[in-house]
Amino acid sequence: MSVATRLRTEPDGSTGTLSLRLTPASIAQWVLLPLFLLVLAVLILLPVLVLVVGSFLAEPPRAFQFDLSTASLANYYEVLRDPEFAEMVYNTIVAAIIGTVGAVLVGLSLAWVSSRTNTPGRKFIEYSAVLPMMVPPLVGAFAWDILGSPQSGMLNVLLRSAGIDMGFSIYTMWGICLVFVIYYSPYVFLFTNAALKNADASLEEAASMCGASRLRVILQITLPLVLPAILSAALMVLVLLIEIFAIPAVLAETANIKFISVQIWKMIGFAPPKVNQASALGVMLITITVVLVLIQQKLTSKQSFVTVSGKGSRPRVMEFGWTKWIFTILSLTYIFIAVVLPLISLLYVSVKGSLFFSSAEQMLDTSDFTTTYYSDVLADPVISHSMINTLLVCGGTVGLGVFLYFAVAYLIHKTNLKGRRMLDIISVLPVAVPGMIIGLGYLWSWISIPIGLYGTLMIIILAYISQFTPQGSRAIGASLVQIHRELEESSRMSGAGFTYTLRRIVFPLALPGIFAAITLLLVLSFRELATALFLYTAKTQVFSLVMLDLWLRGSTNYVAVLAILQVCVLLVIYVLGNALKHKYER
Amino acid sequence: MTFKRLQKFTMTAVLAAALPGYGFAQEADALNVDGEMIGTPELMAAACKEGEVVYYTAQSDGDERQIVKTFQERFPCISVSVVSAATGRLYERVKTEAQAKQTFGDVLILSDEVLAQNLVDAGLVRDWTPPSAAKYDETFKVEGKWYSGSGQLMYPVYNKNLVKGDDIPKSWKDLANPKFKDKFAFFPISVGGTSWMVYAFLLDHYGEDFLKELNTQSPKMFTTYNTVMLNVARGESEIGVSSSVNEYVVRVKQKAPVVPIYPAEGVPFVKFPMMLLEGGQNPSAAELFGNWYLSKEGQTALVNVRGANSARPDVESAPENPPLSEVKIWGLSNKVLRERYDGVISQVQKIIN
Repeated sequence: MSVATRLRTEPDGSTGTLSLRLTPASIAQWVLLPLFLLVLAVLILLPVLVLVVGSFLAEPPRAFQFDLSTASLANYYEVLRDPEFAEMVYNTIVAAIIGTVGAVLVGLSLAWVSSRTNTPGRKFIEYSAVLPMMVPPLVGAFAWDILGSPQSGMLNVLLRSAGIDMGFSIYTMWGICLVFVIYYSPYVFLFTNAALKNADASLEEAASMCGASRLRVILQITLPLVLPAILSAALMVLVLLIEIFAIPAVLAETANIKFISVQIWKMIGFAPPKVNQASALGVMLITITVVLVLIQQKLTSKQSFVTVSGKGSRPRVMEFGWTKWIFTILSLTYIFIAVVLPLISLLYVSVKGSLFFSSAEQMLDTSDFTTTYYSDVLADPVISHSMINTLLVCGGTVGLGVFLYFAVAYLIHKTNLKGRRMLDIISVLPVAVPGMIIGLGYLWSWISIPIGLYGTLMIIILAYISQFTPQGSRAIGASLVQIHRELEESSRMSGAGFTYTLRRIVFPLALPGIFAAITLLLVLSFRELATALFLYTAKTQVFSLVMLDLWLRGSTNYVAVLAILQVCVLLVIYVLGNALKHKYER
Repeated sequence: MTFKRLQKFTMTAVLAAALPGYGFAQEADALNVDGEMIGTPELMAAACKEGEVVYYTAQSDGDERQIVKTFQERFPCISVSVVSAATGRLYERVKTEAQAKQTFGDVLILSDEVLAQNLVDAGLVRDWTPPSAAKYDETFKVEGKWYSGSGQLMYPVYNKNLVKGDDIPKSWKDLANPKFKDKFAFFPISVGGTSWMVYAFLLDHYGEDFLKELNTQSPKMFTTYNTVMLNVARGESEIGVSSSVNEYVVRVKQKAPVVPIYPAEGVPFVKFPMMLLEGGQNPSAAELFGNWYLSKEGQTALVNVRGANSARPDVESAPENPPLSEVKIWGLSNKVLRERYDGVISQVQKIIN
């Protein structure tokens, strides 16, 4: 189809015309890619750039008003010369690395056990492995505070009453890393479980037929095939743990272990707030993340991880004998520690009148058990209104976000368009910027957008879409990379157009990853806290902020009730999402 | 005209004459708060026409909603939208909204006088003199701009199950008792205006050497007072320093085994400046609400819900709190505070970061 003509000069000097053909490739290159670059620029780059600019100024760049005459490196200098800076960086990086390694080991193991072995109870394990994600980090840290504090923690009180003084303390680096692993291994599980299910079993069968042992097949065939998912998940978890605030705020403070995220919190709370220095710290974190992303891209760019192709395949289940019961016991023990224990502590706190006990007898005294906290919460109109707001925000984030993330992931992984790497880099930026800092970026930049966004739910939805771009696009991207190009090419060679191929070939094969992304987005949106801190009003308050207010008041019983409610809602979301995912899996 | 019609006409005429008077009487009732007139009928009419006041507060959201229930019962035509956040975040929000010319907030209360005065100096605070202005001592206001809408005491606390007999601290100096090493819950000066007051008090009364002694106690440094209180209440620390508001919740409402100490040397009183924001969308409702909040009724609601302390001498303390007259309160005038602010921070951060 010829849609445009332009003049061209013929060799003899006369003027002729040249026709331009409008093809899907040219539309993608000149319309779609720039469009999505613009969308991501407004959603992500603009707030981040405002933060970057602010890090060099003496005054915050509020509403795009920059006083460039004050530009200098003074904020960076102040940050670097803090005597605790080196300690903060060390603690943050070490804890993040240990947490990431642990999360990968646990998440990948659970994914492999549930998707690739004949372990009894694997369906239950698959469902349970993600449950810690239903608990926001703040609440998880709070639950482990109740369980593991050295004097009054429930575990220590019970053990001491039985004559065992283990001196277990959650207020240590290892305690913090344990909580990191528990609440971040589900990310790894989600990514790798989808990839393991999609991986081509014929490669493993061929290896087995050639005499390779099970261990060799796992290490040399299975793991390399799902390496992009592992690396993507590990990278995601690493940067999330570098910037996580809630867990160090609750657990590290007691032990005077310094973390960068808590320092940023302090800077914003200072009077007057040191937001420019906080921006400087945030910019340093972004720099680290960009480097990590580029490393990951370098590692995976030269390999092909296609496993979903024109050949039929299904996931191969490894048959184990009595050892399958060891997998069951280990998995269930982990689930008990990671899921059941914290839930028990939350349930206990939600009904116990007095939380101040020093013996097992006082702890187990049921005479002051009450449902008052539940009735108070259920009768509070602000809490119910915040729940409605949160559900609206979740729906909006998923509805608009998944469309954006699929498009971005497709452009990055399934095309050769020039400029797609820029999409990849921009889409990962929000991960490294601590939520409360990016919240400032949204406030400073979007408040000036003249379409009345500020003070509405839409500004929170857009902030969430921006904030979760890395998780959403990577979850979908991990599925897309495993679909061989030959499937799309075969479709087009058979006469199908681009949209038909996308709708009938690519989309159905990517559905497990899309459902994983939807589930992840719903969970993250529901529990997100920091992003909305600067954007909400009385009418747009979300559930997590109500919980934060209660926590700041020391109303731990009510926090526990809200946490239980939150877990229930997220569980429903997860079960429904999983059911849909299974329906469309091969 | 029949008798019945005449009767009906007469009744209607009487009612028509009486109703405005009745409406006026109702307005007067609403505006009369314990003998204080908190506004004029014209102000109330304008406030009702606006219908809403947006209240930015550094105090807890749940507490504020309980406090303002009384206002909303008195003025059902005005809804109060509460936005609660830490002082630093509120300050940043207010400044950004002002710069973008999208001021959403009408009334603001902060926990930091210096930030409050920064807003005044930036022209972001309306002129305002509530009817109860004279009830507030000079140290608790900047006349015409802000008034101490709330307050809290900062004092030591201890866990009565762990600290007994002669070990019970009675003075600030007892915080440096080596018995409490590694068992002391405290906070850095970076928390904000509340923590600044404590450090300024300790410097004024005991000097830098005392702060160095405190540092040798390896205090657990928390960024929120509720975590200080819970840490002491649960026995993870034996003593701590916290705010009266956070201590009240834990002690009175949660029946924790904590005891406050009101040292004879003095107890810092932190003012929470309340002000009306320039450019707010509901100026009349804001003024009426602010006038009410500073009235005896408003301050009594504040004290009883929150365990806070009012700067009004005619407002009684919360149940199970001692009267303020029995506590030696320490404070600084706004002028002195602002002069010393940065210097105290630098001094403290050299000793305790």
